[in-house]
This record gives sequence, C-alpha cells and structure tokens, in this order.
Amino acid sequence: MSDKISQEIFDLIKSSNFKQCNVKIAQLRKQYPNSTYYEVLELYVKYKHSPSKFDYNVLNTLYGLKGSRTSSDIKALELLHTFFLEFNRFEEALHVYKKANFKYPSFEIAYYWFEKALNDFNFRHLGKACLQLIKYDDLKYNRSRDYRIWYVLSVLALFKFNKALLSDQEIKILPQLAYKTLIAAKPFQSTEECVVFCDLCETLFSDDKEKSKEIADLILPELKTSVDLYLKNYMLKHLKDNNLLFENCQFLLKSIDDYDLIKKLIVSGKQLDKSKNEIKTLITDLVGDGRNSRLSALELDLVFDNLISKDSITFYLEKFHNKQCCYVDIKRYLDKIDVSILLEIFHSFNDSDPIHDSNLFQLNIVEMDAIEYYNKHKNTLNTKPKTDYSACSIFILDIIKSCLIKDDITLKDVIFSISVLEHYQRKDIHNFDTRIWLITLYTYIGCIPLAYFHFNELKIKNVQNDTLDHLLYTRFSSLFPQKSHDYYKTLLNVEELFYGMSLDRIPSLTRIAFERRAYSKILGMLEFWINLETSSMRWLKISEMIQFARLCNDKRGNLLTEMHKKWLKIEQIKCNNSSIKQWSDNRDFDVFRLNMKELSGRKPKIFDYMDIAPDLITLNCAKEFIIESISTGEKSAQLEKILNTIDLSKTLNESTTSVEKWSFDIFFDIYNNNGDNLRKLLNESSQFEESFTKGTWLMSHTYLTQISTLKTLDNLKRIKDKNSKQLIKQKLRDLRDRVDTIYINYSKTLNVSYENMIKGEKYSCILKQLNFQEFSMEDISSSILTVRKTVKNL
Amino acid sequence: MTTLQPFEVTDLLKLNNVNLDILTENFPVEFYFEYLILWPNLFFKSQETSVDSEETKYDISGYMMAKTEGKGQDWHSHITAVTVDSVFRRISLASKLCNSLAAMVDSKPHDVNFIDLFVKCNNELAIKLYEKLGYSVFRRVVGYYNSSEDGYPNTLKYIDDDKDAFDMRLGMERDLGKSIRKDGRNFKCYPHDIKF
Repeated sequence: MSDKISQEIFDLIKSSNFKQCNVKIAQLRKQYPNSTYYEVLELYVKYKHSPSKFDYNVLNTLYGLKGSRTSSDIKALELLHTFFLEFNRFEEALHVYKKANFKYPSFEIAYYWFEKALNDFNFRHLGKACLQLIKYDDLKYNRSRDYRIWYVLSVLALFKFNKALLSDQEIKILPQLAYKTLIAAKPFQSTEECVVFCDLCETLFSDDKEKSKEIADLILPELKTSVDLYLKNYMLKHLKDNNLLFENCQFLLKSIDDYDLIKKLIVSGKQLDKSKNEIKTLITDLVGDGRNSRLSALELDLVFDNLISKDSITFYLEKFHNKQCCYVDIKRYLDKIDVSILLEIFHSFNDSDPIHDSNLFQLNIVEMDAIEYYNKHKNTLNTKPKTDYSACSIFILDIIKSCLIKDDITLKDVIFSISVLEHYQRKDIHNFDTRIWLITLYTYIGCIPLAYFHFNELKIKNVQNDTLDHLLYTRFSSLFPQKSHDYYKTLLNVEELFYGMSLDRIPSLTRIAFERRAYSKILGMLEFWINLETSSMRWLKISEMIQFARLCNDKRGNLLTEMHKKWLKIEQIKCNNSSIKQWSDNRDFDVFRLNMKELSGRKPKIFDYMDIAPDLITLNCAKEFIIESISTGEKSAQLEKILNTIDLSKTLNESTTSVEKWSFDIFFDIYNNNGDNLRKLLNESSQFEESFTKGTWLMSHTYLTQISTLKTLDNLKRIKDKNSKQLIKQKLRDLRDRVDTIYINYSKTLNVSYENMIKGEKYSCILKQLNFQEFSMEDISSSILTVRKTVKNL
Repeated sequence: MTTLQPFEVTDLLKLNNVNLDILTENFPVEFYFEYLILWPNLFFKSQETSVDSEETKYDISGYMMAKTEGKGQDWHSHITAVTVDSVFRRISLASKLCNSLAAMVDSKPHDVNFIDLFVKCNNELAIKLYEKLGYSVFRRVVGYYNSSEDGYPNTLKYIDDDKDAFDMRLGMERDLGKSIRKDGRNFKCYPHDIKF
C-alpha cells in the first residue's frame, strides 16, 4: 500500500479521470480485500465522482458518531478525517480517532489525534488526546509530564476560545482536573512549566485566594535565581505581603528597570511607612538616573500627596523636555498638573529644539500655531541625519489634519494636503507618518499609481501586509485593475508568500512549540493563527481576486475552489470556538496617529474607501458563491448558510456603496427570483451619474463595479431573455463609450480644484507661509491618465 | 514609563510604529516563531504604560530578539535584533533592553559566558553605544555584509568598513575576561568562523 499508489489515485481524482480511477481502485480492492484504507478510498472516489449523488449516510453509518466500524489504520483515519471535513462534519472528523483510540489504544493514534485536533482548533479533542498520551510514559524522556502540561494548555485554550459552548459541568470539572493533572507533575522543572501552572490558577481560579497564594509561593524562590518577565508579572499580581513585595521589587530592580516594579515599590514602601525621600533615593540607586526614575518622582507625589509638585515636574523635564516621549509621559499625569506651572518650567529650557516645541504643541498648552512652529524649525530639516525622523512632521500633519478631518471634504482640501505633504516628504524622506497620509490621499482621489509609489517606498512586507494593505488594496479590483502593474503583482505575491506560506507553516510550528516546551507562547500562537486565518483583509482580498477575474473575463474555477477550501477552515474555526464571531480586523488605523477617542471612534471621511464592515466581507464572498451557483445551476448548502448568518438588508443599506448594493441585488435576484427584476435593476444604474461628476475613488469604483457586473451578466447562460441580454450589452456599450469623457472631465475637475486652491485666500496663504507654493498637477494628471487607459481596456 | 514584558506572537500585529522604520528588518512570521519557540524568554518588548489604550494600541516602544548558542567556552547569547520606536529614541531605551538581556542571560537557566552582536564597521554611533554598555570589539568579520554580487570573501587582506562587521562582545563575570581582546579590531576572520 505505497504512498505512490495513493498519490496516483488522488491525481486521477484531481484530473477527474474517474474511469481509470475506478479501474485502479477495483484492482487494489481485489489485491487488498481487508484494507480499510482502500475501502474508504473507494467510497471517497465515489463521492468525488459525483458529490451530489453521494449518500452521506453510507459514510455516516460506517464511520460516523454511531458508526459500526472502527479503524486503527493511520492512513484510513487520515482519509476519513478529510472525508468528513468535506461534509463540514467537524466532530465526526475527529471522532474516528477517538474511537480508534478506545478500541486499539496506541501512542501513535493518540499523537495523530492530538495533531489533527490542533490543526482543527478543536481544543476539547485536543485535551482528550493529551489525556491518552499521558498513559504512554516514556521512561527515557519522561514525556508523560510533558503531556500533562499539554493537557492543561488544551483546557486553557478551550476556556479562552470556546467557553460559551462548555457545559456547566465542564466549567466546574475541567479546571479541577487540569489542576490535579498538573500538580502530579510537581516539582516543576522549568520556568515555562511554572508559567502554565500560574496561568491555570490565575485564569481558571480567578477568585480563589488560595490559588493566588500558591502562585506567589511557587514563584518567589524562582525569582531568586532567574530573571523572567512572566514571573515578575505574577509576583506583582499575586504577592500581597508588603514586606515581601518591597524586598522582591528591590531585588528585581537591580536587574531590570521596570516601571511596574517601581510603582509597586512605591505603594508597598508607603504601606511600610518608608518616607517619600527614602523611596526616591532607593529607586535612583537601583535603576540609575533615567526616564523611569525621574518619572517615579511624579508617581511618588501622587501616591503620597495626590498632587504633583513643581520640583518633580522640573526634575523630569530638565532631562526630557526635548525628547519625544515627554508628551506621552506628561499627558498621562496632565490632570494632576497645574498647566501654568508646566508652561513656566517648559519656558525655562532652551526652546531651539523642534522636539521641545512639538511636546508643548501636542500638549496643547501654547499660543503659536503649527505653521509658526514649522517655520521656526524648518532649517533643522536640512541638517538632520537622513534616517532620523523630524518632529516638524507633527506640525505638518496638524496642518493637513485640520483640513481633512471633517465630513464635507473637497478635492481642494485633498490637493492642498497633497501639495503640503509632497513638499515635506522631500525633506524628511523616510518619515512614514507623513507618507501614510500621502498613500491615503492619493487613493482617495483615485490616483492609485501615485499611491502605490509611496506604498512601495515603505517596503511593507510579511505580517505588515496584513496590517497595512488596506491603505492601498481595499476594493482594489474596482480601483486600478492593471495586471501588468506592480500594484497587482505585489498583491499576488502577498497571497502566496505571506498568507499561503505562513498559514502552511504555523500549524507545524505550533506543534513544535509543544514539543520544545515553549509553553508560555502557545496560547498566543493559537490566537495569532486564528487572527490570520480569519483576517478581514485577507478575506477581502480573496473575494476581490475573484471579482478581478470576472472583470478580466479570466477563468476563476481555481480561485473558487480555493475559496471554498479556505471557507471550510473558517467554518471549522467558528464551529469549534464560540469566541470567534466575526472576521479578525488586524488592519492598523493607529498608524495615522489620530486620537480616535477625540473623534468618538468615527473614522474621517477620507477613510471612506477603506470603510469595510465585517458583514460586507461576508457579503462579498457570498456574492461570488452566488455567481458560481447561478453558473452551475446548483443551490449550495454552504451559500444558504452564509446568507442566513448576515442581515442582508441591514448590510446592503448600511455597509455597501450604492453600486455594490446594486450589483449584489442583481445577482441575488437571479439566484433567488430567477432574474424577475433584472431589467428594472439594470435601469437603476442611472443613479450613479453623481459619482461620475463628483470624482474621487468612487468614480473608478462605480464605473468598474458596473463593468464587472455587466460583463459577468453578459457571460451568464442562465439569462435567456433576449431583451435583458440586449439591455446588458447596451449598458456595457454606453458605459464604455463614456469612459474617456468621464476621466477627462475628472482630470479637469482636479485641475480646477487646484486652481481654486491657489487662488483662494486660505490655502494659498498657508502654502506661501510654508514656502510650499511650487506644485505641479502633472503627476496627478498623468496618474489619472494611466488609470483611464487601464479602465478603458476592460 | 517603561515596563518590560514578554513578547507574544500577537504583538506582531501591532508593531508598525516600530517596524515601519527604514532600518528595521521585518522578518517572515516563521522567523519570529522560531525565536519564540526556542528562546521564549529572550524575546521581549518594552511597553509604555503611559500610553492611553483608548487612544492607540501602540504601546510597544521597542523589542529585543536574542538567542543562546555555542558550546563550552563559546556558550553565549547573541543579539539578533534590538529596535526602538522613533518616539522613544534618545532616552537610552535600547541600552535598557540590552542591559535587561544581560541580566537575564547572566542568570539561570542560561548562565552564558558572553553576549555578542554584529555591527557594521562604519556604524560609529552604534559602536559607541555598545562600548558604553561594556561591549568591545572581539574580531572583524570580513565580508559579513557582502551582497550576492560581492560574493564570499576569499582573503582577509582586504577590508571594507561598509561590508565588514565587528563582532562585539560583553563578557560575564564567569567568562574571566576571555571575550576581551585588546587588538580585536585587528583580529580578522571569515563569516564561516562565526558559526556556532
């Protein structure tokens, strides 16, 4: 039963050569009549040959939860696992291992069970598999104690990700069982093992004072011999005795300068009637004269007097008034500081440094405005090292944010901001704070080639693609669908090199983390793995790729097959983990350094193109499944399930652009009503005229979404009505005929906006003050022309 | 207000304030995993408790990635990356991260003999910083930063400050000064000599 033969069969399945496949299987069945593997494989081939005709009950009766058969053949178990997964039967997929373990217990089966449960994010099964593994004690390596810890980690993962689906009994019993299992492994042999014990006591016995004391008792001796940050945290949380706290904080502060330790030292010191000065001197002796020790003077004031003294502020500021951390530090204590005193102290220092002024400016306690400050310090831009970032960007960003953070943003505002930032960027070339805004502004006005230029300058790669690609690639298929441009090629690489390779490797790396006893990192790894699998940006790109293929009339069979496969994983994660409700939004908006608290959580209008609600991502995926279903003429249970999870009317009305809603309505009408309203809906496209005159990213988005919708409709054989077919072709022609006019007009509008900007009092005055007058619209016009040429070819 | 905290894999998703820096390398996810798995307590971050979490998730001001390797006298810790957010620069945070690592690897279970790192021979600023922390040049690695076009060095005769690295070391007490060479800058070796 070689792997070569199996591979041959799977290759035949892949190429849909079922005739030869069946011949091969029949031969193998004859040759190995007792092989469960070939028996299951025969069944699997039948299923793959004709999925809709396959009777799931046959499989279920044999190997399902109440199935009559049990196999101990690892290959058969593996195939059964895959087989059940393809039917979304996640429990059954692992149950085959459970049953095999019960009837034919062996280390090998238990370990495979563990591996599969980990890959499936099924922590209940993971725990059960670990309990089996404990039974196989390897005297040489003493692995049994490892499996005890693996079991505890499984229980911790179960409570972290799936608590809502646990029964009352499980909630009561599992922590106790985990505790007993771990206690049996005492004495712990490494810090990593101690961390698991502390995590268990802290998380699953959160109100238990005894357990808290156990944590403290365990870690105190450890801290005497090793410097470990987890243990430090547990000590700070669970050590209640002030004498011990004071003593141990001192001990650790000799090795590491840590503000949490300093704060605890202050509080415990006060409780022990130590004087303020005594503690202050002690801190400096322990950690030296640095930021933490100087800041601790403020903390001491607060703890002892609930008021921060002038002396303490002076003590901190004399060393840090011209460091960028100053703003962050002082802001934390601002409500306890007299602002006039703060200002007086600031003024007592040399203010020739832009950072000094930027701190004052950000604390909002000065009278000069951003332009005056910029002009005061602009000369420093000529002398700073190239790789340093200038604090002048703080003033520049303030100028443009005051124009952009509003609801009635105009093209004039955007062009003004671009011209300011482009000037600035040349003087501070590596400043990413300003470049991020340039990417956003160019994308907002639909100049994707220019936005890409700046994005490329940031050398974004690996995990940054997941957190930053939204700046440029949200709705990419309807912004700049140019296959030969690096904009698109880069995106293809990300899917393959980042998501593909990372998600391929993470499962085995997580298993290795168990094997190598990196216990403290495992829950984080699982969380990160889930975050990546369910990443909203990843899924947005997956659906956009298919929309892009439709727009280019490319074959999309492979893309859809992949999407189904990936979707299955999402369903599996959600099914096994009640805490995962939606997509994981890993997109970084903090990179704009906007105070979202001040904006009451509302994103500014300039971010509209990136405004993607979680349900919209689901809707986009559903749309592609709908189109697939229309083409094949088959209704899919998976699609129905998706449609049932979203509030269609709410999502369509609140989370889509009008053209996205129109497009979805059309396909949904064909899917659900056989296209009864198709002509009416097609004629509703006149509503998009405004987008063409207003411009911005919405113009390309509206145009291209219509084109992709109409092209897809044009290719649908399901539409039989001649009038509808003619109307689709007519609409396509009309749109294409207008493309030049639309983009030429938009280019003119941009130029007029620029003219108005330089003629208008407000912006021209600022540009003059900044000495930023010279700006050419040539790059923008040429960028729009590139987009126009791309769009015209579709 | 810096506290030192263990680095978690999920921190990779909130690191743009540090890693967008032009001189900071962004490694593939697997590389970070490798360090977290093999040296879980030598990958740590500095976290700013003064940052308002309702305003921003950027509370990581820097991080240290290190490992242990070698045998016998060569048992040591190696600094792979140490980097700091621009907002928290020039306040000795990188030094603090290096000193904390020294305290960690000088205690159990590591008990290393020395810490080493590589720095470009023309990076005077960094060399001075490390010298201030007690590091000294142990040897010059010729062609350490050679590109594929430069090829592997075939002689130790030719030196280039832009292509060579100084192997700088900080000896622990138990090392008994064995990692200190007075003429370290003149002691040359090939890149393969630094494999442990």
